[in-house]
Amino acid sequence: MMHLDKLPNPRDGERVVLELRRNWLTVASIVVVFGTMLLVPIIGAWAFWDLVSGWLAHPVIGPTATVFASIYFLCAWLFAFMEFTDYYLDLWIVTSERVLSSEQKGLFNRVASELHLAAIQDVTSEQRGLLGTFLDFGDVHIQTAGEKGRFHFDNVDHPERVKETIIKLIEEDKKRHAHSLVAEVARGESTIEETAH
Amino acid sequence: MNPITGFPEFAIPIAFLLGIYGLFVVFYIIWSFFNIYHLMRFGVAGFFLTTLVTVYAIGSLVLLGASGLSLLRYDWSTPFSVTAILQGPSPESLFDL
Repeated sequence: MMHLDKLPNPRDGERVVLELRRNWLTVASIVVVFGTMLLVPIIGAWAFWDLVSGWLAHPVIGPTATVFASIYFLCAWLFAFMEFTDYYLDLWIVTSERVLSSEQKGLFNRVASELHLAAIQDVTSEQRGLLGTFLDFGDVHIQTAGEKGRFHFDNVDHPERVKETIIKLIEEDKKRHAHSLVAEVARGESTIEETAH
Repeated sequence: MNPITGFPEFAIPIAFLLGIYGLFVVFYIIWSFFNIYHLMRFGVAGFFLTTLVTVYAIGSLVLLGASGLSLLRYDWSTPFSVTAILQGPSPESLFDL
């Protein structure tokens, strides 16, 4: 279990600044699909109760319908829970030192990675479509050095604000590390040539 | 051999449906276990996670209980006859037309 106050491999003085998940529309779509799967057969059975009750009383159709209805409702509940788990376990954490990404892709596929703020070269926010613009959600892309590629925060709230926060944290991180290097040089623990590397 | 349908006469108890249901329940329990395991292993510790797992467990118990009670009221020794199905009620009578 992950504890936000005890992140893996913590740095000195590290604090969690952002905890991001996909926009609430993802949860809303799960609720709508599950609600539809649940309500359509219930309303249908209620509307045609005379017919349905006749079927349920039949010695063969009754148990067959009951077995398949039970399987259907259990499937709907399981599907909703699996989808919510998929949403809930996609988490991006931005701290004062690094970015942690944890993405669940299906039940048996999980990608967890982290990136130090110093390795970030470019941060881009992207809002697409009518809903994204009006509800203020979209993607944030983090370009890293080398072939590590990009980090993607998908459909997060306030992507522009997230981008600004990360850029601000990168600046603070650079200043902090510059100060510590100057202090090291002043103490004689490091040389100018070493710090240049 | 049935002279009307040309199909052989055979009947099996509808209890075989319970086998299908039982297999599904096993699948459901295994899948739920994996889901809960992932949540407990990788989720963020806190009240929300505990609530989520509790709600799912209660929902599952309610659904399994309700379906179990619904299935109890049937006589599962009733034979399921292919011949009877083929000679049985027409689609019109099924839909009460």
